[in-house]
Amino acid sequence: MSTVPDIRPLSEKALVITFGPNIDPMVHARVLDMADWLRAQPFPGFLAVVPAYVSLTLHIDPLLIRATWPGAGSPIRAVCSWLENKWPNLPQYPRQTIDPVDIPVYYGAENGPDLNAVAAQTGLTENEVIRLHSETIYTVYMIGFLPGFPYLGILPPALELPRRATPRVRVPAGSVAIAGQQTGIYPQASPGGWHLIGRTDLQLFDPQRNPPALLAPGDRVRFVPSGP
Amino acid sequence: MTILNPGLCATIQDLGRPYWLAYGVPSGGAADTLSHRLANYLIGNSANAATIEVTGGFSAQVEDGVWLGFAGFGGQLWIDGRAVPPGGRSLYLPAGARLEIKPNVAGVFSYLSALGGWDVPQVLGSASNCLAAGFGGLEGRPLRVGDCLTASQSIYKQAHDKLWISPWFVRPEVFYTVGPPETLRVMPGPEWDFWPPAEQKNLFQTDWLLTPRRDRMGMRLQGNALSCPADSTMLSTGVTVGAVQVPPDGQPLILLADAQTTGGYPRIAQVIAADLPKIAQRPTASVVRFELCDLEEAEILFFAQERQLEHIRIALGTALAG
Repeated sequence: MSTVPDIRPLSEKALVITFGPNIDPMVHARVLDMADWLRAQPFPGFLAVVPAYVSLTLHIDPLLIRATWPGAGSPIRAVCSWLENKWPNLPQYPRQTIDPVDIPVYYGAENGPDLNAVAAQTGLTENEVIRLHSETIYTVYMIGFLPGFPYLGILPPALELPRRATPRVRVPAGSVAIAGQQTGIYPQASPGGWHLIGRTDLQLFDPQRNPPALLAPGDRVRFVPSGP
Repeated sequence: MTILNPGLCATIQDLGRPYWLAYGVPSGGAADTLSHRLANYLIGNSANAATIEVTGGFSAQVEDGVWLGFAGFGGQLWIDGRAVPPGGRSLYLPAGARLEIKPNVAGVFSYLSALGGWDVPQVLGSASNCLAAGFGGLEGRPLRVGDCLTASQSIYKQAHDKLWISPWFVRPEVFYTVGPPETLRVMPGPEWDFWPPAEQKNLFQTDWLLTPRRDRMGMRLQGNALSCPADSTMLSTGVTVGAVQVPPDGQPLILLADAQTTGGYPRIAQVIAADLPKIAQRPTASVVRFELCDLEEAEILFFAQERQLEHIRIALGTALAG
């Protein structure tokens, strides 16, 4: 990938690096490379990076940058220019070598109240939906929305549906859901508009753990249908 | 100190945990970081010591004598049925004293610090209560009637035998006023170009009403709806506190301290860092206007505000030592 990334400030305290316009595993790999590379050599004033589908958001402490970067008049612009000079030497880290994380899922019935409707809308049987959903190995593109909520892609095209017309007020914790090209898991009970097709007992987020989330951007995931 | 009335929402906050954003954990922390820090500096605490963030009213009973700092715009402080003169104050409350914050219409949040910080566990590097995932603060939830909080005692200061209220105080208007003119300075957001110039103008010419649909995550505004931009489909990406998002209904949404870490609504603007405490403190049903500011000017304003707070910290240190 030799495309020039777009680097621009979002605020006094954050900037975004965009590597491409569309969801693409190669673009996402560059997002992860930049995240890993910045974490491996954090500069004074570095706070956090947030990888997403095609972009990486970098959060900084402008007071620390100004105190430690000589001549940094505008801290956020100083970090932007530093990145402009650095990105051509961005290393490519090896990926795809780690085994996927298995997520056991109880599909359908009370655990996946929308499985039936998803089957009806896609013209598939419930078993075909389960088979299609669980035979794909997904990539974690991003964690967001809720602490530990993984955005997984890419869903088989036969399962693509728009979000529910009316979101649910309360989606139970552990719900496995689909929407558009994505599938995800609700770590906490929350409102939600995705189609619920199953539920897992795995705890996706535990603030007493380090890191607190079971999954991180770049991880690979496989859903495993389990009893009853 | 035992909580008698937690008010609308009282939570434990510090300066948050901006380290776990990649795992979807909001940065969190005080909605008004200036008033939070001021409450701490008033009794010689460090900036990050845990305070109680009070929304509107609040009352509590003191069991053991305690040093407190009080700052913010949410209400007036009363001790044992007598009003404390306005301004950020340091106080010593003896055992048996009753503290009350009576809400006022000027602002939203008040901050109560205790010597050394309120004693709650650090979770993921912060005492802040993350409401979305139910952790941090006291047992991961807002304060309730009957909850008991103690000062961490990590700083020693001689106890008084009776009520003491500092004669010196910090005027609340030192950083910003919460009355009119109600101008909020913003810089163009990353999706600014999604809107035609007429709509960009609309953002600045509309009086935006702050609706009751607000919490620590964000606030919904209401006014002359912005158009749904032609190129409105965008991939979710990392978002910032202060981002002005435009959902499909055209009524803007401003992200606050507990904002989600990622989002997919286009962002027409970004509230400048120096005005973030001010927008958090603006009361519901008041009106704001946006004013354009560039990044360099916003940085200058932010640094000036930080320098001013630092001057106040030093002055308070001298007052406390004297």
